[in-house]
Amino acid sequence: MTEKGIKLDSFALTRMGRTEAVSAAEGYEWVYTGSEFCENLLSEADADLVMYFLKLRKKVVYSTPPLTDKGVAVTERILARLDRLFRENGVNREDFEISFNDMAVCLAVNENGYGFRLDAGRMIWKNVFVLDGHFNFYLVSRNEAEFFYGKGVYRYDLGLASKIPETNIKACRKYFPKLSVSLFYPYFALTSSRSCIIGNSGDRRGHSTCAAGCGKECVFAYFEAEHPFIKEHLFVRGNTLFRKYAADTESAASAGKLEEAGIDRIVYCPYP
Amino acid sequence: MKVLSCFSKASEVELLAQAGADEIYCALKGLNSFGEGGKVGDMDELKKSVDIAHSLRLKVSLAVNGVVSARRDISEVRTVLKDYPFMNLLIKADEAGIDSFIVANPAVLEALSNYRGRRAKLHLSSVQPCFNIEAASFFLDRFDISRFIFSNLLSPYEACKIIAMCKKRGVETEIFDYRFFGCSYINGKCLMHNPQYYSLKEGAVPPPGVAMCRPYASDSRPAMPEVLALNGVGEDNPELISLKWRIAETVTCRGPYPFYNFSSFFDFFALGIDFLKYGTRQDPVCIKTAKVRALRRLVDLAQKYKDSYPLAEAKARFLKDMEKWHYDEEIPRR
Repeated sequence: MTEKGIKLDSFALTRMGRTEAVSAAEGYEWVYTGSEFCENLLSEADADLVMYFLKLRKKVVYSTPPLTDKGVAVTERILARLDRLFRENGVNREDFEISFNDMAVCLAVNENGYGFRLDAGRMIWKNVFVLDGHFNFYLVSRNEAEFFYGKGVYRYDLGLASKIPETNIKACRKYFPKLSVSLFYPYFALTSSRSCIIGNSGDRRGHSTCAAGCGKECVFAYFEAEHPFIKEHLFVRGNTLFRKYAADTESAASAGKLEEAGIDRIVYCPYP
Repeated sequence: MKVLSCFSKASEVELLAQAGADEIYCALKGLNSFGEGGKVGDMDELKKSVDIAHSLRLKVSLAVNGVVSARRDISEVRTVLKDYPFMNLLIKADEAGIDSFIVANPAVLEALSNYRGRRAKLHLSSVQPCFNIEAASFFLDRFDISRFIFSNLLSPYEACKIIAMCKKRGVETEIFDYRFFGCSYINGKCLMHNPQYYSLKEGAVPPPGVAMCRPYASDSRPAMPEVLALNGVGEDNPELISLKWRIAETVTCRGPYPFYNFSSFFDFFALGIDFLKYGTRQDPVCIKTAKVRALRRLVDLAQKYKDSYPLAEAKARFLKDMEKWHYDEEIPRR
């Protein structure tokens, strides 16, 4: 049976409010929160949000972005707080996963013995999978998967494009029995920058940038933008560009097609 | 600081040395690397290039920095995942005499670190970007890495701890010359360069060699494209106009604002970065040599002022000189 998740990060919660977010999560086993692409959106309060959803009997994935030293410090505090909250509340860690997009998080979880399950995020999958010209994806070399598998990374977050992909995941489970994949839809992340797309403007000739400046402009809205050469409209949120696809994922999941392709979880993103 | 240049043919090596390159690097057909352009044709050409370079006392690196190790027909892995013999090719390159491999994928780093017969050193590619000291340590602790190549999306301020760690461990450091190389998006993670992820507008002909992540130079920007703010923000909101302009400019003209400029170059220089690299392999040789000369002048100018003045004054003088620099005056058109 394909599991269903919904991405309810701080952007979604700002728009929906908690009450609406909780009702949006009806029918989904998993809630994805945190920040996949930008460290400026991490907050220690995220740990309380994780616990909030866990207490609502949701399973939760906490996403973490690429990190500078500043972001590592914040993430370490969040992980320590999560660890404490899990112990204090007696919550089952089996219902919780960390999705990482920076090796520092993989390292911190392993070295501190937190016992959190690890997923490779949407900035990591390219280390292991190849997407062909028809939006099918394949694990092409055992070496890569072995490297991550050995560090307790069994699940990969990928994006869904225009159709249910062909994959070789089932064939690969011969070597990696716990290998599993989550497909995010309908927004497919095309590219991301540390320097923000909608923030960070200004002429800095004669001065060095200290860090990715952040005025939290991304909280304001997300955007649909026309590209001079690309037919499809692009969606901009914060530091990341997306394309939106209209794959009929929910019905494919219920029809079992995704499971046939070895995909055991889909994640609906109401916003990019 | 030394100057490092790309090359794609044995015949370019001597010209690049004359232009001021202290080291050179290339990619090889048949081996996965970041970008397919300007690769050295075969192992014989690589060996010939290495021999010429060594006779000129230049070291040679080979980029095997594909995000995945394998370059194979999908039909080979559709139902059965067999081992991919990339190590055989890397061993042949090692035997050809290259001085170092530039590697991104951790599995390739692991395989090369464990290969006891290896002569060549290992450089950690910017295609596996480490933005923090923990991630950098992760790779430096596990693998036998002799050089750390910085992503161009890390400021000197943010990079200084990693630079200090590398110096303490005797690991060399390298940055790109921002004028000639570097996406504003995260290298190795960007799908905008590959047309399979979108379709082109009917009749739209992008200029040759254009990067879709910044399709116009800032001096030839198109009319304001359509940008819609979604999710209930009123069109009369005063902040909206400036945000829309910013997005239009980013998506169509320049990409996200770059971290690097002459000021950040000088800061990296003062922090003791060992190598300055230029890496557009598909450039014709006349452009390659012009760019290497530009790198050489940049480094020599920074060194001259650093040797003669206190650091703040050296930087001010360097920036004043570099204000006059114009791409078109120094680099020939393709």
